[in-house]
Amino acid sequence: MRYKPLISLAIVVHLFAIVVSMSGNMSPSLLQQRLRYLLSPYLIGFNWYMDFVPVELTHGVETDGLWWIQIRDTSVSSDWQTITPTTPSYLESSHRIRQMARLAGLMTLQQRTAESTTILQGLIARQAIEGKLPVRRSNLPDAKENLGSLDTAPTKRQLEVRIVRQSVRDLEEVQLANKIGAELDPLPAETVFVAKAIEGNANQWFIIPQSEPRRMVPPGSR
Amino acid sequence: MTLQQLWDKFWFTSIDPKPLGIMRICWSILTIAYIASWMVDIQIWLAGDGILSNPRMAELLQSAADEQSVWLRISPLYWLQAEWQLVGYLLFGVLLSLVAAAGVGGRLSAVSAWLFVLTFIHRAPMLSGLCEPLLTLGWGYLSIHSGKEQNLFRLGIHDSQPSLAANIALRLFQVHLFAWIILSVASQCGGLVWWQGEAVWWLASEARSPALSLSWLGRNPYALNALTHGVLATQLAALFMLWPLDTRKYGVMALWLACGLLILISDQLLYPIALGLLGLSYWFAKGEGRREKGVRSEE
Repeated sequence: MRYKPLISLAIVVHLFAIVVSMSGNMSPSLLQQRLRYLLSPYLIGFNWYMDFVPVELTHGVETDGLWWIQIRDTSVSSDWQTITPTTPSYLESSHRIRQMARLAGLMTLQQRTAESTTILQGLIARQAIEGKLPVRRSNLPDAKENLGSLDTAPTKRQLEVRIVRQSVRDLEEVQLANKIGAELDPLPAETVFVAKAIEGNANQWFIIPQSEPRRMVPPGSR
Repeated sequence: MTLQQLWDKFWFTSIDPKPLGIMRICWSILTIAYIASWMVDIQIWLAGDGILSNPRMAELLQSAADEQSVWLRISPLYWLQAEWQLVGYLLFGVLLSLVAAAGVGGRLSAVSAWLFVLTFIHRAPMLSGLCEPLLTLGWGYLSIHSGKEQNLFRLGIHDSQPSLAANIALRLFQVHLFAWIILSVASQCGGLVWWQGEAVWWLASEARSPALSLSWLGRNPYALNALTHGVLATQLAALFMLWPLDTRKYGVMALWLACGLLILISDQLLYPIALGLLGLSYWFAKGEGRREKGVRSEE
């Protein structure tokens, strides 16, 4: 067969690229990183890239907990409103939004606040489009009768937004509680990032971080 | 037998392309399921006012550490902003998948389906999960063989000629699946929770186990350990049994059992199904000694 050497070469190069890509999934060496960089047009272009594919499902590390995003408008209520799902689901749509909540949280931990705030802007803007932001009493339909007494100038909303992480309870603790019939208190969620969201024109939202990077949370925000 | 003869025997032997035809149909169905998952929320993410609108994606990609990856992210989805355009694009994807399943267009339809899936990954790489790599590798390897002889309308017909391209594609499927399972097992063994039998507890605590409740797992620690170790054990069993011809079918069954356990313990559905479908590359492949009837040596 005339093309056998060429096909063999293509197979070898392809399999080598796959091995390099897969080897980078755990903890790549400098050589692996360099090889991945050289091969990245092929690996990224055709999605053979395995760097961030979580084939392990969980490693049981701190960052594996449940992440979600909450907002509140203190002029409406002091309660936090959760805008990303916190219940399990087989739906890919649910995975996507939870993935974004986790990504935003991890980025703040990595001090990549600019990227994290971009994601938060998108999530809040989408909530606003869908009419899911906290609503003042005066904006409700039944208050329209009193419109004359209201200030008609559009007011820009300000929200508080936070990224929260639920740590995982120790299994031994649960087993011990089951043994003695005790009821455990719910685990407190950890606030990883706090920011202020200010509404701009045309559903633009500006996010101003209120907490320092690396989990420094302003006093009283928990 | 020399190394070259072994290489030639492994890669350059013509085989019946029927397994590829079946996998092509399965991949088409899987792609339609993937598209259906986007139908629910495509406008939420990718529309002009979506969470990952073009300006926001540009910001996210610009701040990515690897600048090389930015210019590789080419996708027509960047130009589609309105909801009807995005839904139209999804319907176009369904059509492409059906055409590929019907064997119309040969390699072209498989390449088109491959590119279609890639456009979603390049448009929003941060939304890509476990299923997408398997979808793209499947279409990539299916593009090697034309798929005209075996398709949705010719499943029961056995008149296809042995094909060298079909063998190369099937071998790539097998090798890639094997490497994937090795990676999966190695990666899981890198975490202490998989050794301690507590990985399922972690998944349930992260609200990633729709089928299992935390309270039930807390009351049944042995079941929790058995489920965690079961996932590892079935994958290891598949690794050892997939290549020997005598145990191949048991290996595929072990893989399917692992996929079933993955559905039970995690919130993944498309990923275990795709992994299980990859197992067909072993299930339908006949052994070297058993396929002499259909073999036509290229030498």
